[in-house]
Amino acid sequence: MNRSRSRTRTLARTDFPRLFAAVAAVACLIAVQAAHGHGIWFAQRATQLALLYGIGADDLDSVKRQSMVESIAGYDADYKPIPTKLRVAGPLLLVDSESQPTVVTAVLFNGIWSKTPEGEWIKKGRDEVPNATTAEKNYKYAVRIVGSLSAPIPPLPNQTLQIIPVGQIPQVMGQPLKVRVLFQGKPAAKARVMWDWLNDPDGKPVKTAADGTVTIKVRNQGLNVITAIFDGPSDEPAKADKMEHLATLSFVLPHAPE
Amino acid sequence: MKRMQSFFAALLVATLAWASIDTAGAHGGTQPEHGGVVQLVGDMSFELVPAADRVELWVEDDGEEVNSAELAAKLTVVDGGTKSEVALTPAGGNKFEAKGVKIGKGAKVTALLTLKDKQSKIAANFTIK
Repeated sequence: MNRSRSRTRTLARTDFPRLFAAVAAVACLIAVQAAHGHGIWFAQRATQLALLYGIGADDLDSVKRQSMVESIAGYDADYKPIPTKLRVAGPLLLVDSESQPTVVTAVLFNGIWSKTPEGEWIKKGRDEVPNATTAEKNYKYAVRIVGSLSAPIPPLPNQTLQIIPVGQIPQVMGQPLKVRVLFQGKPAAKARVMWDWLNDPDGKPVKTAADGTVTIKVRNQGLNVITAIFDGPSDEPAKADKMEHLATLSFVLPHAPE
Repeated sequence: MKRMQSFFAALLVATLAWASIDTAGAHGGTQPEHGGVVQLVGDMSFELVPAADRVELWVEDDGEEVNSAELAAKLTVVDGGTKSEVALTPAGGNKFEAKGVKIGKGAKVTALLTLKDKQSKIAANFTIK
């Protein structure tokens, strides 16, 4: 009994540095992910449409990021603007439109981040972190299809990077869906597209062809959040080497009647 | 062999029981009660009744009638490329209505319900046949 307890104590002492190292490694991983691995998307919460921020199952505090939201917009079936705003409801940012929109969009500026030689991401520009291995300016975009589309989605205002479905969206999961990624309204080649930002955030991206298109499968019979990431030139070279644009396209496939 | 049969019988009973629970959990009725068309949106059931000289909207929440006096509703009608809005007024019980309105066949109608908090909204889409 005593021997067993003694062994346990010895083991704990021996393992403490390893445990500390593991915790540090995990913390480092989280810091790396937090710096550049998040997106924004729209999803239904308690029947209302919310703007969410995060990755995978982590939808983080969007309310504290409200000041970073540069635009929120709603459009009708003819893609004419509908007065739309965000309102805080508890821990959520809900979309409030005067009438039912067909499409809703948002833009969030996530700041400038620099990566130190030690691998840590800091929310500062290269001008403040001169030894940074990379420094990037981060923009997040989101388009949500709310109603049925009567015409193809055009390039929408403020959506510097945008995912557009080519043709009809299949109504059954597993079916192929062709999308086109636009950067500043033009096809973006080699944009990295992920089929499911929420349930497969570590999946291998597929790159768009020269015409900006890529065909993926519709992942879910429910909420789908497709993501595209594209590196563009920096508009502040002294502070950032590049601009990382991350866009989502979200839509829902209906479930069977109850 | 008998054990396997018992196992599968038990599995069948359990599956049927689960299926019946699932069905019992469905929200609201899908059958029109006022001669209109029903759309389910989450917990809410909307029945739109376009008549010759008026339009009615009946709303239930999770199978229970809402109090229309506590809510607000309007319709957006797209008919032959023309878009218009129709304000609905509470008409007792769970009914909203607008008199002197005729919605033609083929029109696309969105009913927008504003909830008690006067902020949250739920929409249902209809195509008039």
